[in-house]
Amino acid sequence: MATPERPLTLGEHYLDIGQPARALEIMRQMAGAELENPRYWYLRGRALYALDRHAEAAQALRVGLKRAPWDVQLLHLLSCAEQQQGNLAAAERAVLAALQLAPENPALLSQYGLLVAQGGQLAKAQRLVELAARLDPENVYVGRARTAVAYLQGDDRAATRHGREILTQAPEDDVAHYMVGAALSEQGEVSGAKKHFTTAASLNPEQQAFREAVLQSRYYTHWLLWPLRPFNRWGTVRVWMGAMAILLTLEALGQSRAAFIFAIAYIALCVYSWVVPPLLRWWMWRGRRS
Amino acid sequence: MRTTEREQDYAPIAAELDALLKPSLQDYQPRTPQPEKRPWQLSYQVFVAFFGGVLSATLVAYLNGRALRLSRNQLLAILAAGLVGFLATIVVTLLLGRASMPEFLSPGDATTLASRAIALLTFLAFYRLQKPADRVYAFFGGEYGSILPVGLMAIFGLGFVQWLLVKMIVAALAG
Amino acid sequence: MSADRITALLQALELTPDNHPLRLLLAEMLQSAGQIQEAIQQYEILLSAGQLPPQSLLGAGELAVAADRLDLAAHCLDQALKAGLVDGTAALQAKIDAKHAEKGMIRVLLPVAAGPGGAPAVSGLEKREKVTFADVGGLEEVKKVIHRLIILPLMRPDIYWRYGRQAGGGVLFLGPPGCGKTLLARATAGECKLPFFNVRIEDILDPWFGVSERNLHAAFTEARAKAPCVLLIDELDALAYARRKQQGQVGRALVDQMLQELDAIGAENRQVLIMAATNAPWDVDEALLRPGRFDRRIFVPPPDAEARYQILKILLASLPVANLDLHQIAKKAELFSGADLKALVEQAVDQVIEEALESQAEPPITMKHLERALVGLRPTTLEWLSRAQNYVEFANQDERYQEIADFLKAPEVRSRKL
Repeated sequence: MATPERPLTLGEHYLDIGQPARALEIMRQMAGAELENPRYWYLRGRALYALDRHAEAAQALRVGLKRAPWDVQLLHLLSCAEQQQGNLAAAERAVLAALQLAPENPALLSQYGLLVAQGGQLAKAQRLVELAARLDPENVYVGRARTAVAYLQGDDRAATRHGREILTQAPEDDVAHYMVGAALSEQGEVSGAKKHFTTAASLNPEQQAFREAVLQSRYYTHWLLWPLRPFNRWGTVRVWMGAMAILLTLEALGQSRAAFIFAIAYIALCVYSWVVPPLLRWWMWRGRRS
Repeated sequence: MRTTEREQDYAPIAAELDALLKPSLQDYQPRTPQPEKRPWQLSYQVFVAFFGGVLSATLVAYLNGRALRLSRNQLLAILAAGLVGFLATIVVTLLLGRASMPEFLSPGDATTLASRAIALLTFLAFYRLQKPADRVYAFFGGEYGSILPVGLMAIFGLGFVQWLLVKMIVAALAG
Repeated sequence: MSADRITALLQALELTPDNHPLRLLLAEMLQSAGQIQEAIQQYEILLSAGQLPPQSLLGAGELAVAADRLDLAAHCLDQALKAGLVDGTAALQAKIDAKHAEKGMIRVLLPVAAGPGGAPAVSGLEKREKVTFADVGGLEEVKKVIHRLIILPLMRPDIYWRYGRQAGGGVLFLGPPGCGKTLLARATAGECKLPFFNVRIEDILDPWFGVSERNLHAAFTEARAKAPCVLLIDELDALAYARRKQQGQVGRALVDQMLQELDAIGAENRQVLIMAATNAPWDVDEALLRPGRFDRRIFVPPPDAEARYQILKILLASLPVANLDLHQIAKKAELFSGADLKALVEQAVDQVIEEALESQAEPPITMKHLERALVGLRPTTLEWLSRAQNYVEFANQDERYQEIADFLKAPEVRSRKL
């Protein structure tokens, strides 16, 4: 059936199944009156965005907005495209225009929250995502934004909690797994982080960030690095200061021999931490493209 | 009745929306792509603190804070923490110079140990001030620059300056 | 009395053969009089002329089922669906399916009777495949697997049935693009000498709600009506994209429909060999890969040296060549797909044409041209292999990509930095 809508339907289907290049090919063949359809420009923008051609995506979306300035989808995507280019001011104008038309749209509120978070306004970001969560508590996109903002604020426990809430509704959400893994690794729980990173990568091995996270977590949980777990858990500074405190205490208690042995062991551990990790890293990453 | 209830539910949301939906990013300038303007990995600053001392760590933290676009207050907090750390180094050096040390600890060792500890504690303060902005930067795909050139200059340059200043001030106060 | 009326109607139709309402009346009268075959003949004429009214389609279909004319019944059902009828279509489908189930393994395909209305109705999707294994260069191991898994059960169903194996079912060809998956599927159909149906996403997808699923169902219905046959679903990942990754609703409905068709509640898909090809097996919905559906998987790797030699031989067969050592070129063109080899030959031809234009002569293609073209070309399979490697490394816990994992250990792959 050859109707004007058919290529758009096919194009949209290719976008839905993660083939933006095919979608773009189909849309290239469209011409004339079909180009007056704002939906064409939205799908074109979506395809270009998916191909990381953000500037072109923004251009296409603006053309669509000339035909339909009230189109919330076009404005939302334009905001995302501008954000990807680092043009936060333009992204804000687009998302606020969309919010004027749909002020209680949880996805838009979340998008604005992530935008202001990128601009360093974490308090405002939190209020926006909390409001979005009140409006639609089960929205996965809102959940992701909430998790992200908690993580950015340094509240890793809250980030873990919000991430796990997403996973109760959508156990195969790869982004949620990744974010929970990141939050856990910040808390020093490398084994738990590794499980989530591994799941994220198995669900979506094409995301480089996920693959890299798995490799890093395999590295940090490698048996050769077990002696260095305290450094991962508490940080280098705290371990050093703790070691100095133990050493001075032993000396103060007159346990010179014990202090000496402890000092040797600590120095050996330090040397181990300088030699083994780089070798292990070289071994694990050999043959991989950076 | 229902309409009134809905209006009552909606009123606080509407008020909140009015407050939140005001533009606040219109003055935001996009980041330049030049590598020398990129921030550095936070964890590497610990080496600058350990080997260079408080002043080195303060300089590196301040420059990194500017690259991360910390607010004016946060940058001032970094400088203030650095100043406190420097003063603490002087005080501790003065006290340890006068105190009787245990056998296992020479005055020189004790001073070095103490000033390193103070530098590391100050680094922890810098870390906490920079961490949220650093996370935001990394989360949104920011790439890091190399701390090596500035770090080495800070360690050797400001490390020497700190040593000299502490010596002079302690000598002046003790004498 | 009714016999007189029937005779009168027949006489009237001889004078005015295009009087379709009259013919319809005759068909109904014949049916009432119990003259089923004659009634069916009249319905068939009306159907061929496109003049059987929608309200009569299902009745005609049921009559055809009772008379064991399943092809006609399927055609009536198809027309009824196209006309937008809903009530009664499921019941007619069930009756057709039940008849298929009764018929068992061996079935002789009767030709559709051609009435005075014209040529027999042939579906737009059906083809007669002329390609055979002889047209597919190399890949001898893959051909052997296909022969054992697919062709023999169809050719000797008696032996396989004795051991509880059935012909038909689902086979999935997976591998990098341009390596001959679709060609192999077509060649399999050609070897089996069966009618071949090719279903593509462009044929199925429709903007109207529910029509895509209907189109898919119609394709399967048509194939079943013409069984034994081969049904090829090209780009299975586009038609049955993993539901957990999907963003839209149309795709999910298509996957559900596909699952229904594959399950087909019973044995309706016997004698229908359903083959699918995909470059992205990781994007195919997992439910389709379970037993009873596409549980037979054949990995079609990039052509080996012998296959590349054969492909080059075919590509250069009609071109002017001189002193070619195709074995050497084939050896150097590691991991090149069939499409890459075609590009290689085309680049060599471009060079020769340039020389011909400059020299006003007609130089042949030589080793120099091919080797020069080889320098500038990179196998397109590398990108696929790089992608596949990620899935093998991070998503192969249930060993679903084991054949790909085994191929990635091959020396020619390991020597490349993916």
